Amino acid sequence: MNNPLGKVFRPATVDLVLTKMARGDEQDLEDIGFLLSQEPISPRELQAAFARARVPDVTEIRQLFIAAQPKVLKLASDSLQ
Amino acid sequence: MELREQTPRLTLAQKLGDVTHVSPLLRKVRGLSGCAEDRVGEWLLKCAVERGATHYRRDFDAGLPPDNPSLGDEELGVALCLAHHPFNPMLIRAAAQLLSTRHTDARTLVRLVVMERCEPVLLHIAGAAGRVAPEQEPWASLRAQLTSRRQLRTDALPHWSRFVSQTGYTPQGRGPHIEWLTRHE
Repeated sequence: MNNPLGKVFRPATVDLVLTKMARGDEQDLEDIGFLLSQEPISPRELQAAFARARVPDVTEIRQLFIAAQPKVLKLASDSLQ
Repeated sequence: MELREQTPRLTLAQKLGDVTHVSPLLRKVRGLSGCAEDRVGEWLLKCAVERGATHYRRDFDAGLPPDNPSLGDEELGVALCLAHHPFNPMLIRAAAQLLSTRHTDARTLVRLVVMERCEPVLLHIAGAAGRVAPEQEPWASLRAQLTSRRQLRTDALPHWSRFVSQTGYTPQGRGPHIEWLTRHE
């Protein structure tokens, strides 16, 4: 992103979505919905990202990441409609 | 800067599957602030930030009335957790930081929480504190003294990690460092 003060870099949208899934609470899901509304990603692409994501070996994070997946896929489907 | 469209929100009560009561505290807050019901939450948040819930500092509408010292800190914390507000996790998070101080009177707080039927929300915060900072007051006292009226859906309430500051890097080196957010005094 270019602006008069310099160049701003940010993680790719899919990576932002993945990081937010490590907690996946209401607020995160709202943020993910916003991200997907700005840059739709297909459920298929997301599923591929879920499969290759390097999830920290912490039981709680793994459980939350798995629980968030159907919710995020639904948000992705909704954003494509 | 507004980044999102505003959509009507469910109330906290609706999110929890609860019903609201006639709240004396909400009535007091509305009287002291002069705010209409849809602005009360924002006013409470502004007051909490000014009193030390600094993690949630932001630009508030300049038209909001000034803080009113007639509203006690315990009252302010509980008012932020009232189920009448449109659902906004930031109010609950600010309440957690505001009340996280040795100056909070646990006895007053427990009485208000019961009177205002906020046990599920405050016990949720207390449970999160128990995980990260078990000795932190007033949460240890709340866990000891409060019981929930009944089981509600608390999955909409902020995840425990929302009440803390955490980093993977500190001056001491790499590794998770988690701190319960306490009131800035």
